[in-house]
Amino acid sequence: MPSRNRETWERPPDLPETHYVDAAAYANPDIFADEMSRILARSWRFGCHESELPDAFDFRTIDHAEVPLVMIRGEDGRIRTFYNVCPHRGAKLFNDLSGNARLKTCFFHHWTFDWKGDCVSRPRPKAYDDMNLRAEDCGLREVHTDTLYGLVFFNLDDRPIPFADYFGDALASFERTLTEEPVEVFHYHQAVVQANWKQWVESNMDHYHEWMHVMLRRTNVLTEETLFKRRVELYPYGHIMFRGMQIDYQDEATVVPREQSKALPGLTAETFHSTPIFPNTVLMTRGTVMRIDTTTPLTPDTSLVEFRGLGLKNDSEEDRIVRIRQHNEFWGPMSHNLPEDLFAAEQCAKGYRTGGAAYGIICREENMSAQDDGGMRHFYAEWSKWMGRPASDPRTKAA
Amino acid sequence: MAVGNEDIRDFLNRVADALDREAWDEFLSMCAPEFEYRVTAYSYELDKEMVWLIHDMDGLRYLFDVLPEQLGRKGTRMLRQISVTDISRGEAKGHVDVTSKVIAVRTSPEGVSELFAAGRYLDVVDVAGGTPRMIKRETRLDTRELGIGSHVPI
Repeated sequence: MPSRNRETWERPPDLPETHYVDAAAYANPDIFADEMSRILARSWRFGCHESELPDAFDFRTIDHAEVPLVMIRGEDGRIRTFYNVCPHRGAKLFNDLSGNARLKTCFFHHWTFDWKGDCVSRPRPKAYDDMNLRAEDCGLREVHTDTLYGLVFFNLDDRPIPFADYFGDALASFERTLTEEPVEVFHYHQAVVQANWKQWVESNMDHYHEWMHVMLRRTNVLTEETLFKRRVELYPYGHIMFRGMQIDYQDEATVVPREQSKALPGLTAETFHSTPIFPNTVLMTRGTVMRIDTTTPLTPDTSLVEFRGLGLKNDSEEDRIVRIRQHNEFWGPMSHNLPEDLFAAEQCAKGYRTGGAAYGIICREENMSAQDDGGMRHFYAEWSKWMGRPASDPRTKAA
Repeated sequence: MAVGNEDIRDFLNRVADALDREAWDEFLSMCAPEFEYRVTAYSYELDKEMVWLIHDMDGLRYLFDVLPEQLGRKGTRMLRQISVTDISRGEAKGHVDVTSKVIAVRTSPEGVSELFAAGRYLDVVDVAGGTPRMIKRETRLDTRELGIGSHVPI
């Protein structure tokens, strides 16, 4: 295979347009701005798991969306999302990351709001009344919020795609896992990654990269049998499901044993499932634990990734610590796998950011088995639809 | 010979130095067979304590054994600056509880240094035999954003 000169390097691959992504999709600031307004501002995005807001008046702030947000569980049990901004002078209303507040009073001028977002008090209101600025015109800005199997999603669009339509059956495989017994989040950490947000999302759709991980080379993930048993399933709105993998953890003696841990409902301890939800969330299970990634674009080449670990709420202390170890060995910030995945995303970003890389190749067709690129093609087909421009030539807007 | 506070400070500096030099066998030789290593942090998001890593001696040996195969950049170094703030004789005979502040600085192969993590070491040191040995270390992190993370103990 000969090396290439500039002309042949930059020439589009001789592949169907659906089977490659132009570098501009990862690095071009105008395309990034379009992604924010056309995709992130209009899609259903994961906010938190309901176990993070167990009681009435619990709140949880989200600081890394395009606007500061706060999720609050109301007295009626419903979780609502508001801009975390006082409508008076724009001060951030909730400054703690989480907590409980029946009423929230802005620190600046003491305007007070209830869990429905209503403004219930303004000190010395007469001066406002005299100007016909009524309290009912001073409520918080609410954002559409809905919950599926305990997963709380928000949508910044005032007229969003109906929630049920958006998810369809994409998460149905997780229904038992997330609802048959109470589950809760026991792990949370964030990582600011020097990569485009899609490069992190891709790492959970591109199972061809499994060769990179020493722990996967040492377990049975990459045998012919496991490779071709696993399937890539596609759902409307760009959602994907990877299923059918059973991992034999006994292959590696020092891996935390699974046999004494209770698997999450509907799974065996060896089950590996992964479900990327368009655009920026991935749910995955390793039988006894679940991980949820949420990727938020910060700049074209910087992203914030949140990592959550979930397990059974009613674990004994001993069971929980085993479950935590099972989570941490592959998925913690000091694990075998996660730092390798993040490293890979950053190294890819370097290629695209500098203009060195011209295209991403997503052309593998293997009858939709594990390392078929069909999942990524599905994601980019959806991306192209929302963006009104093809991922293979994103500088060109569709007619 | 009795182990004094200065000996303990020297010992913990040598432990940090062994980790900095990635002298894993030397580090393990300073740990008792029952040694347990943990990394913990408190999540203000969840309002919960978290455990990010737990290893016994076998787990650490495995971790160090796999390290050459883990993906990363050759030449990346971590330097741990410690400052012992409290030494108290533990409840168990011959055990000493030691608290140290720790700052870990990561330096890239290009020589760019960045603060990687800040926190405390909560150590239990066995001094009964006259030679200090680590029984337990909890690396209690204030820093919770570790970038791409780390394969090596802080």
